[in-house]
Amino acid sequence: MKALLAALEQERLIELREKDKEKALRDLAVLLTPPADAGFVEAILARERAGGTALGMGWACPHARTAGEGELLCAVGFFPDGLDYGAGDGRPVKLVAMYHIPDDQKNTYLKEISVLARAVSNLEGKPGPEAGGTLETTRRGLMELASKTMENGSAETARMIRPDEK
Amino acid sequence: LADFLNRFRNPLVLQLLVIGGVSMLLGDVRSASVVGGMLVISVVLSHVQESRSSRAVEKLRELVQTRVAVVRDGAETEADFTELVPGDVVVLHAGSIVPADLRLVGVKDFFVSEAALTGESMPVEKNADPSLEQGRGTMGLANACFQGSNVLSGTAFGLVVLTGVRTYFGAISQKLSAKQPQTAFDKGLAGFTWLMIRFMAVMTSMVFVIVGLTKGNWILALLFALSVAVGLTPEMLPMIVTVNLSKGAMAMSRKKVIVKRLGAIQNFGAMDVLCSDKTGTLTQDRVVLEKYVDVTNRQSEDVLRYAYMNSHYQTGLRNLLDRAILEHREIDVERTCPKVDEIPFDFQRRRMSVVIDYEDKHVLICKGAVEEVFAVCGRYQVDEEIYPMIDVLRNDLLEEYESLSADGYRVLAIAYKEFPKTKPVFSVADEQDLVLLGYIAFFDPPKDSAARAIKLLKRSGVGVKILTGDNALVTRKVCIDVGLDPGEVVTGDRLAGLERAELEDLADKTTVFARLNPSQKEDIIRALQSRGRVVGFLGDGINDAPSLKTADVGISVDSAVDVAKESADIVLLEKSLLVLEDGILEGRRVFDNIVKYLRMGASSNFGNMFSVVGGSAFLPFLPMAPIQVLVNNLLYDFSQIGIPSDRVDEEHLRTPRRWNLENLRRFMLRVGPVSSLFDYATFALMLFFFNCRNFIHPDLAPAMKAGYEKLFHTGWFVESLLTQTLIVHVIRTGRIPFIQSRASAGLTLTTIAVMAAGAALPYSPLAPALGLVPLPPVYWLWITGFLASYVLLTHKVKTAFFKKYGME
Repeated sequence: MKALLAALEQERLIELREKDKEKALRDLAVLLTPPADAGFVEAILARERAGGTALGMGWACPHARTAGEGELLCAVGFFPDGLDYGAGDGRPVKLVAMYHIPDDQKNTYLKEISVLARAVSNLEGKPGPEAGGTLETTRRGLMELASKTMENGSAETARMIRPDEK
Repeated sequence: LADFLNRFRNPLVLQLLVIGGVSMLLGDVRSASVVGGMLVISVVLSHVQESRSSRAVEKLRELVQTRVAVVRDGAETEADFTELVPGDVVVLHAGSIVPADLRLVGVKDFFVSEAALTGESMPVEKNADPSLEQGRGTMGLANACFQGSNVLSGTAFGLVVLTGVRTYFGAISQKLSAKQPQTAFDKGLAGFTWLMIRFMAVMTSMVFVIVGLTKGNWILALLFALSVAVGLTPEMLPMIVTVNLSKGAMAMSRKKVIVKRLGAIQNFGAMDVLCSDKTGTLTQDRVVLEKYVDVTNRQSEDVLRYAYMNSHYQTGLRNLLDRAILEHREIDVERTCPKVDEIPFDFQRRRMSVVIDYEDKHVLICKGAVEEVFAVCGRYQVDEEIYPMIDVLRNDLLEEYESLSADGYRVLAIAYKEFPKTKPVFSVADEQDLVLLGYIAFFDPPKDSAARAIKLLKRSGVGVKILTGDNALVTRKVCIDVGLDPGEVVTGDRLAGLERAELEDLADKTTVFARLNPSQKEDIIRALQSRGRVVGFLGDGINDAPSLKTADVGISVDSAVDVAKESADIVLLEKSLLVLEDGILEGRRVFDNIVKYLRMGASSNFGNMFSVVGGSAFLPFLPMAPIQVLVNNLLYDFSQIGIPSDRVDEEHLRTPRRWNLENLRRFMLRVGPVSSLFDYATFALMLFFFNCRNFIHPDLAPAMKAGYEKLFHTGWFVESLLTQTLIVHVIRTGRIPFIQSRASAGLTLTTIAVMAAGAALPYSPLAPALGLVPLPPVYWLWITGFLASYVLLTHKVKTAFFKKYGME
């Protein structure tokens, strides 16, 4: 959740009231400048068309890869009125974490989303970070969620079999 | 003997026979024997030459092996497919082609591919169990093996039940035995022969009437007309063509290209588009493990190790991919982690697993088709951390697989799962909630020679098109790797429902066709042919057989399945495109030498027509005695024997050579009259300079008259023979003869010999018998001047002709 945390610290969190998903995503992508070029936005939209990125529980994580090296960047959109995202659980999306993934950050991104998804699923039955209803309460809620998740450790560690070469 | 007698059915030979017979009946034994001599040259020489060639070609064909191990009298021996009889027991190993319809009597891990018969590309396991699998008919018999299948793994003993055309496959392949249609070359050659014969018939009749009316001697008229007929007949044509083709075949065999059908050689030279299968021609036809990557497409030794352990321990059909993994590296698996169990491969699951014992766990390692492995994965691993495979990430994880596939790789997924050591037995049900570890990617690498060969073919004016059953992405990558711009790859499904003209357009402009079935390959070849292209097809599968038959030149390789080799006109002993270039050049060489003869024959005949008709009409005697016409023709024919071995200028080899009867006709009309011009000049020389016109002087003694007549005949005999023979050096090349382009030693020798013989004959003991007399020395000065002017003028006319109409 390092990228999400960085987004909050570097103030890439905005409140959006746009109802149209595509327009909303275009607005949010502006926060990811300079990567937010036309190609990036189109890739975000193409990825949405190929399969939605709603995580459930009012969360979504639109993302797209671009060629080259760099840092995994995140921007968060808070939609107090909810955005119709076509999520599997039918709930409107209130938090959109958008990711810009340079090619060499695919592993970091996979981990980030996997951890975020688990954190989101752990919110089942509890109030989410956006529950306060304002941008500031949402920012605090997100900070708390990110810190807690990182403290709890992220994943199961694999134990690989490595026989010798002949 | 049958072949020998068959030669007499040739219209040219029949004509000689008739002429010889008539001469004999009229009591002209000398003429009859000269015609007999020509018959000997035409029939015996071509019979000897051709049978020598065909014996050699037969020997070459034997190099193309179709043999099988067979148990006879208790001992294993080798037999040709054609020698198998029902009741034989054959031994089959991986790589064997099933040579007949068989009942299996003993098998070990025996898998065959029946793709050719059923279209099913997956291997089929066979056994010796005599029970019939319900509902699948004959092909469903597990203990039967059918001709045309090939053995993928294991060994088997099979009892031959049906052979040849009685087999299941034989019935299909009989369709292929339909007679090959005549090629453009065959048609053109026949057209030329008949043109010459018609020409000769008209000429002969004219000469007969003119001589009969002007000289009043109808027997003499008939003899002269018949001799002229012989002179106008290109009786050496069949021999020249055959010797040319067989010489070409021999030259090609030295370059490991075996010609099965002689006529195909010139089509090889005419070919302007080569359609080729991909596998084995552009590629090496082997599978190499190229990539082992984690889910983010980064190289991962763990992925390779897990794939290796899976392939190492599996006991079922070890396919090409397994072999590629095991060949990539050698890992000491058994010492570290012994095998516990195995969940074998099946074609529904399209994956297989082995279970190994590692420290305190049993670890299941699964390998298989990506979609199928994905379906049983609940987690994935990245950087030794395991995460749940949530829906949102499935698309992202598949992206790497898609990008590898788009790069032309064949991709498998590797996944694993740990179980407690207490679990000893495993089943398909245990293949769930696996951890996706990564991908292994395979590739059939392009041949080193392919890129160079494509460049060479392009330089020779031959376009290359790829017609493959494989998928578009793989094909595209291979094409790019070998420097062939694939443009838009068209797949088979786009061809369905196209109008004929649309298909022709598409075939013309598309370089790469993928996912084609065999009949679509044929359709594309036909579409190209109907656009006037001469199409070669290079293929090695049974599925390629119909296309090999349809193409103008069917090319296969020695390692191809037999039916492909049988359907092909040309078999490459090495599966390399580079030898094709040599073959194409040889084809063009052969074509060029045949065309030289045709040009020579057509133009000199046309010129002679003017001279003979004119001479017969205005001269008080025959322009040449019948026996002289025949001897002149015999010597001229002899001079042409060197043509098949002649050199060919490089510019004649650069572009595909096409049959062009129209151009030949034009050449005849433009170059022919030049020779006539010098004939008339000779007539004038003999009449006015050497005073042969005195023949008509009423007071001249008969002996003197005869002397003038003979002098005239000798003068024209020598001039006609020397000019005709010498001119081959001018017509054979587009360049300046003798200076920029020289004939081969053989052709130079035959022409010099004939010219020397022609010049010497009037002074020889044979002269009186042939009605020749010694020529005055000053004649030679004149004739040298004529020859020089003739060469110069013909060269000018020829150069202008080639410039305007091209070399074809």
